Amino acid sequence: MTQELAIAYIRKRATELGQGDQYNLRFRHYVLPPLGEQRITGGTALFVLVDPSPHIRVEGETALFDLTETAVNELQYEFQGIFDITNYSPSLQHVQMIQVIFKNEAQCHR
Amino acid sequence: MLTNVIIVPIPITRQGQKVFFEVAIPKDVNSIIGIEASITGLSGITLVEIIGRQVAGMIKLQAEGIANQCYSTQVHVGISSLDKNQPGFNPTYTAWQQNTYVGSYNREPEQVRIGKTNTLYGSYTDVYGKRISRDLVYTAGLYLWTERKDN
Repeated sequence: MTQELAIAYIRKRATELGQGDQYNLRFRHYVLPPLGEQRITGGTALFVLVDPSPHIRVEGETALFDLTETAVNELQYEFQGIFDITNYSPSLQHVQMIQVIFKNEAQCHR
Repeated sequence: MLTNVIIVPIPITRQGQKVFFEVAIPKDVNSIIGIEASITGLSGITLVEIIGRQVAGMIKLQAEGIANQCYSTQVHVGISSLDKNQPGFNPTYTAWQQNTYVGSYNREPEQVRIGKTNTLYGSYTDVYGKRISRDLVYTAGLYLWTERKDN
């Protein structure tokens, strides 16, 4: 997913989720050392994966992106809660995500 | 309060398959009050071959606005030893009985309380097919009991 598509997608997706335009965006750029792994605690925010490298795996409880995974019929670009990003490659890799932080206070206090 | 059931069929065709799904919850639903999960339409193996009651897979759910998992459960397949001892039934024919059938004997929805949400994110991972190294074809069913506004 390109950044342009992600921005357009997030606008529609937030409306679909009942949030309208009540959200903030942050661009996150994670750097993974060779064969490294990082755990992201996303809370209630939505993370949209953009321009993914083929050497990374992003795995949450209900979403997975990994171009080498054969047990799935579909890959996901949208993550929530706790998820792990893994670098399969022996070289440094970058993972870029757009974090959608909803302004709904009732949700923030959960 | 009215209650409705949202049924989510999850088709599985390969061993170890992972399926990610999303459930749109109607706007008039106040909360999800019960969850059931079951296996139906199993083919590729006969019930007689399944020894006892086995874990067929794992369901995990995330609700919008709630951090991390809001629900997870194991889904079972096969007949437990308790089912075989039902009075009036010949144990020889237990394979003919419907098993892990929602709304049937020995089952009732698990009581939960998930507040107002527009979307549920879920994943199902096949465990049994992977364990016996066979591509089992079945449908994992997720049943969400919801509480709705009266209008």
